[in-house]
Amino acid sequence: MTRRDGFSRDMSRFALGADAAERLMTGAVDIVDAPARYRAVARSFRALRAAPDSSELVGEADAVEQIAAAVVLEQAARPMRPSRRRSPRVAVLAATAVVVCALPLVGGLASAGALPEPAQEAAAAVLGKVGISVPIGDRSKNGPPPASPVPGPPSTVAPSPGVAGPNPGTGAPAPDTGKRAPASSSPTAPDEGHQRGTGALGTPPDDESHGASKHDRAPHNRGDEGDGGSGSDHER
Amino acid sequence: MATAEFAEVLQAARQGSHQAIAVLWRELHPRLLRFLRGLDPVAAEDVEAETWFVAARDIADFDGNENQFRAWMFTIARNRLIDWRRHEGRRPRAALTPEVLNRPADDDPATTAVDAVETEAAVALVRACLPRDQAEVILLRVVGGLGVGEVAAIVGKRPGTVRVLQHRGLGRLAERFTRSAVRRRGVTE
Repeated sequence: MTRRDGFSRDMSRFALGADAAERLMTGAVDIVDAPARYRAVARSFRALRAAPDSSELVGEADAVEQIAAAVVLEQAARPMRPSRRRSPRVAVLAATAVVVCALPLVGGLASAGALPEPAQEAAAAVLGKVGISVPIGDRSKNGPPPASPVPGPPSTVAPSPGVAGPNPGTGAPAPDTGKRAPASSSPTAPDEGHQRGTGALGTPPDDESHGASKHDRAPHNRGDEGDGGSGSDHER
Repeated sequence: MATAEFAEVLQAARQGSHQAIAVLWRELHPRLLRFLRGLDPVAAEDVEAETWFVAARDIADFDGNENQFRAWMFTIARNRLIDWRRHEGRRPRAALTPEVLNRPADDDPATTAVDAVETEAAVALVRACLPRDQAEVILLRVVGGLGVGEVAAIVGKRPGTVRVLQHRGLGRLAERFTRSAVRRRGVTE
């Protein structure tokens, strides 16, 4: 029967000072000089520290050969590593290039009014801020949007006097919006936008959470491979 | 090994020098094997071999002195063992403890260690008598020749906790030896 501290009831007889324990652990004490109850332990520790006998060194040549081959192989593979390490930077550069190339295209489509309505509205709002006037979308032709019974969440398109000018409907809040939505909620957010926003915000988090869990597992597996790496990090 | 000498050996080993790798292998292979056998004799050989291959892969990134290199190797060995156990789903402690601890006195590892003072018997004693965390700390300190701080870093515990674990391990071992001695006296009388 052991107590909660791991010692059995009569183990207080084996109490050992910190210095004596340290000397036992480091082998700084001879067996005969060890506390009487710990002489067998000291002898056992000496055996654990003993120089290896020939049987423990069997297979040295093969082991050294294989380790050396692994070191050389790793060295040969090393020049490829930096490119892998740079890959995140390359990905960022590629993404930036895509965005830069896509901007004129989107701008052109927006000025031609060829974008889908929500995108057209967003483009109009954004470009309107920098003084570029583009058509707002089909809604500007059809008049104000129908009043929304459910106020939408804050839209990504902020109300802008400059934008509201050409579209009388977008500048006026929907009747319910003032009561239910906070003042910052956009009067331009229709139901459609709300539903789209919900869909856009509702679905991806699930996907993202799955993706994240998968992603979280991946480094775990890599960590298995990277034991040495973690160790080396730790040691460094 | 002197510091400068170790640095030369390490540098040569990074280049794949057989002689340098042999020096490191002779120094660490027996220790690693004893450590691993003290925790899991079934996995020890395989895990030790894996340890060297991980080291071969990462040795170019290692930077440190001999003591740090030893600690690094034991860290790899411990992590590989944990990984091996995770994959194999083995629990050697649960399987070993009852049989080993209920052996008759003459077959007792403690008795063997006292009489023959053989390394393998001492390793078996530590494995049989101590819980895994205590055995790990004792083996890292005694076989690995590592300090409290280094062991704490390897096992992910605080130095104070490591001291407590080693103290409990020492107490358990001493108690075990005393019981074995009493039992042997009882048998001979």
